[in-house]
Amino acid sequence: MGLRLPVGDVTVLLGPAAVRRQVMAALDDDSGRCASGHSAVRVQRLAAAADDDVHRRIAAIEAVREAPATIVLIDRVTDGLTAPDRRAVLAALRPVATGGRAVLVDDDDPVAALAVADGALRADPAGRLSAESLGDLDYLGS
Amino acid sequence: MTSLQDMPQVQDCAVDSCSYNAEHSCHAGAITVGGDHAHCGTFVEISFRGGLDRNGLVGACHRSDCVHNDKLECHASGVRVGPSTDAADCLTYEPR
Repeated sequence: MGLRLPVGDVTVLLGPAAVRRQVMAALDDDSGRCASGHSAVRVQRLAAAADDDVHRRIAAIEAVREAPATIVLIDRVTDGLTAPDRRAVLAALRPVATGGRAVLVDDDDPVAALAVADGALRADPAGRLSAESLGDLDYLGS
Repeated sequence: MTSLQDMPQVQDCAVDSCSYNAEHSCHAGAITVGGDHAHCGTFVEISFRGGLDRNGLVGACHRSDCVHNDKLECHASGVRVGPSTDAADCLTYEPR
């Protein structure tokens, strides 16, 4: 079973927090490949330690832009941050995607993550994923 | 800069599993081609871990030209699988 992600986009996971964690944990970092399955692509997973400040977390994200990964898994890198710091860290994800990577984000505040998202996947309690139209969420920004 | 109407069209696409494929036509706004063998780079895939809590077995092998193959069964003590020509190739394959 594979998860297809658009290159150049930030995709945010929605749904129950526990299920989102399970989805991220279940992704096989060694299985990245192009959509036709003919070529392996690198996967990089980014998480943060509890004592990492906002600057260290942003620096870690910026370092991904220099790395050869095509799929970037952002695993709750804003945990423990204030809302402004969380927004700053999430904003740093956009250039990672536009640099030619597929970025999948699980965040403690998925609504905040949607501010930088191009797309969203909703995980149901059984762990099944379905695409969520961001057009349906425009009211969040109004 | 090349304008949109000057860009080449995707005349057909054989990847039926792609969400943007409809009757062998590509309906994506645009695709990106790249990589070592010019693959469509618009999407990438990642798998979920799965299966049983033990190592998989080689049930059958169609590469009868391999030194480890006898009557389409693999007799190697073990095989390694990894990316080579494709994402998941048998790296233990050895031509006779």
